[in-house]
Amino acid sequence: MSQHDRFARQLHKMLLSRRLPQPDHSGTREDVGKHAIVTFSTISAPSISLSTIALCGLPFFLRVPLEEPTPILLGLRRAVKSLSSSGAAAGEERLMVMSVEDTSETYAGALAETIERMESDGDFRQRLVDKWGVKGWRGGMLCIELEAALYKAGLMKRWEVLVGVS
Amino acid sequence: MPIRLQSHPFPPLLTPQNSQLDSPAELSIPSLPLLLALLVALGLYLFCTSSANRFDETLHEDKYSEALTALMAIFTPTKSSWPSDILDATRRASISRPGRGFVSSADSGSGRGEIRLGFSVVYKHILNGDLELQPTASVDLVKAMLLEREGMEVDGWKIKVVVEWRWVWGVSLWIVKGLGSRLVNLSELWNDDVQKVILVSAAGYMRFVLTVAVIGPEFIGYVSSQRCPLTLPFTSLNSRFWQNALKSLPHA
Repeated sequence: MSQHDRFARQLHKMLLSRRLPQPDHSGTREDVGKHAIVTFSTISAPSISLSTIALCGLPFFLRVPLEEPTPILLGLRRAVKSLSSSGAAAGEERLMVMSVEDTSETYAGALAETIERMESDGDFRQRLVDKWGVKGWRGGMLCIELEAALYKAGLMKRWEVLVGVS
Repeated sequence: MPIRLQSHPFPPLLTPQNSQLDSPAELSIPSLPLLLALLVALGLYLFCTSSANRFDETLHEDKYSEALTALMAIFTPTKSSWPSDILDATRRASISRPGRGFVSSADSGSGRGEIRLGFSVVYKHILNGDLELQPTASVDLVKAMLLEREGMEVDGWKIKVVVEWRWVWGVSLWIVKGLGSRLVNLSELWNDDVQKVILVSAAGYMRFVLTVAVIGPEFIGYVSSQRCPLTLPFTSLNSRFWQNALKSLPHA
């Protein structure tokens, strides 16, 4: 069982046991908490070479000492397949992919907001500087800027996959 | 002795002991005019290029400041002057021309050079706070890094940011390593605390049409864990996503 299949299985179990945190605007219906959004980024450059991979990986790689992003060898197609083919025992509700959305633009916007906040929000900045040091704070900003640029330049895409049990 | 000198004008290079050929004497005689011709050609070339450079020195200051202005499209120096290695790279750019010798010296007045910067240098200066990325230039920087051959063009200047091999190597190694050991930890992370992962639950009463986007080739995905305050906005992004989704539903 590959790593992402294992993840899909765990997610499935969590959804079945309703262990996911509730969102603010959750309703009072009984099936609340049956859904989850999985978001990830993929390379979507027209041609993939070693230098493209290096360039796309760079903002994540530079961030490693700060927050440990994890690379996975997995495209959208396989991610969706893996999320929708988690084996269900008899009587269990099946894990299903309900929607796949390209949120690159919104996400790049959110990253830009983060940079803005990192720069101008004194409190937030101080917390980051305390945690990472001044160099870490500057490096973190560069990483986010580069990442946002990758989405804007169309080299990477951000996906939101909505999954649920039913 | 004098006869031997004539037949071997360059004893250390063409001694019979060192040579793999059967008859060194036969070889050394025709190679003498050849070597002389080469020396003359080299001398001529050096003379031409040095005179061209001397010609350039007069234009140098103009070009230099022009190149620095072009560089301002991407970076801003935070101190009163640019870091010295950036200045060096720019100086090199304002001297070097696309070609050398007679042909290019004719159009060296209009021809502008290319500014080549290593990503390591840029990264170092940004970390030290000597250099800042222009607020709108991050896409340009990525393009200057991606289009390594063409570079990014500003006022006729080509700016290239070279991602050195050690970065390519580092990222590749990181991907390979991540595929192995850390994946196990990640699944534990997922199991323990969902808040750590970019994974947000949603209200269960929504129904969505399956819309699978058609995409180009892609085979590497990144999942980042949410253990630092940096990723807080991501959750708000998600809730906004849901608010929009709610609005689009007829009865929500």
